[in-house]
Amino acid sequence: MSFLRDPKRLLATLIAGIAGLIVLIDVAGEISPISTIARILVDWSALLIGIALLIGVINVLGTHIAAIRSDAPARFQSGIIVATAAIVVVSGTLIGGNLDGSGFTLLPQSLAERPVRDLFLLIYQPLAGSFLGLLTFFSIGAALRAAGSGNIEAVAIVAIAAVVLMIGALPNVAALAPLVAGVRWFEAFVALAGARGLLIGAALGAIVAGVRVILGVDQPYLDR
Amino acid sequence: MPLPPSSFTFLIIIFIVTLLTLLHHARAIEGKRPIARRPMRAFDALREAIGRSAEKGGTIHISPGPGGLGGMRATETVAGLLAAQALVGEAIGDGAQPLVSSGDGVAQLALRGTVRRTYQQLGLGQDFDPASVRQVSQDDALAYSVGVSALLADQPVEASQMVGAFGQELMLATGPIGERGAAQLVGAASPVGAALAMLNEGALVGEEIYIADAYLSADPAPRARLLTLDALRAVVIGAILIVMLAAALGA
Repeated sequence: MSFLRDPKRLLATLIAGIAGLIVLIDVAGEISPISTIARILVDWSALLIGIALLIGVINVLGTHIAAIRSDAPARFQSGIIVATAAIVVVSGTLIGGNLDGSGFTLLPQSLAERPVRDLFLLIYQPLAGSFLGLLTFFSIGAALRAAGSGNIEAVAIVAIAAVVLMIGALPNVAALAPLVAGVRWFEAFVALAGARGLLIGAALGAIVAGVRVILGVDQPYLDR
Repeated sequence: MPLPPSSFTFLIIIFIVTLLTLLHHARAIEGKRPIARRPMRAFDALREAIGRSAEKGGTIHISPGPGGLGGMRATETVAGLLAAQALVGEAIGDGAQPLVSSGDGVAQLALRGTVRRTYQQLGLGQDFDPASVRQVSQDDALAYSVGVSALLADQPVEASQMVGAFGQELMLATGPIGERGAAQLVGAASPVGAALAMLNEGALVGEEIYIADAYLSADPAPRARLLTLDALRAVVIGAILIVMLAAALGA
């Protein structure tokens, strides 16, 4: 059914379109009343995103609590997730022990304060670094699979990138002037031209997607 | 107060895109002149897998990516969300079970509604399982990719579509499906994400993520986006050629 015949959808589309247009005009230039309204709208959207996040957290916790109650093989992991979430929420909003042994922080003002900051520095960041390290192996595995399936484009990209990277990482490579010049030329012209082409295309796509949402032609926020 | 030249140019571009969007949307809705789609191999494996899933009642994983609807990369998430909504409709209509994961609260709510409504429209409201739509993280691409990797490692998934604001962490999310040899449609607009996406059989790179729903859905409206993008691409290519010629002649 067209959203024009559905008052609820029409209202949502009008709100999204008008709000988007006001923020867009504010981006183009600061005009006094429009800028004030745009700031209010952005603040409201942050509040709405917060509410959506709360619903998401309830959804995630519900899933894991149900898993803990069941005989699911992953109930142990679900228990760890629920416990970790509780620790982060309590230490970020109410009270938490400082990990350097300097007592407790009561009612922290933001998540940038201790002890949540310490939790992220000591637990989350090392884990994130480890996972990013794993990417190398995942990428090699994917490249081998691509080679096996005859995906010539993918194999060529990976092979050229690997050769350029390895040449750059060679010891005493600076002594081989023509090689260094060749790699620099490749990076400055071929790689940069490719990246810019990709970014120009993506920017065009982003502009069209944004305009279509403001006009109400695309409504990704509606449960169609 | 006069606008600075950059803002003026920006508003002119938006005005031209708005006009083109309205013209092309009207043409798509009217339907008198069909809008041709270039053949794209990226969708072939996914379509075949949906067909197989329909026969077996298998599961299709669908994701609008790890990004949120606020911030610099919101349009990539919008593209992922539109592609996900298009595939949800096709997959449920064909008898496959969707397993939807997202990395944003708003995207999760929109997709939950889409899945529920699609089941209801097909008269299968009782088949909707709220647990089939999961929020894995909140605006944290790495956490999302690790979470999806764990989710897919446990699920017998026939195919997967992940289109959205992916970066270097993309390979973590696509790893389990790739190792299983299942069909996969992967799309990213960032240079690193796009390069890694190309390692998959079904890859959408750059602006291709913004036209995915035109290929996944029978709805004519998304096809108007193809026309608008083609027109803008022609303008940009023409401008680059003119600048190149002018520079060469000036030199």
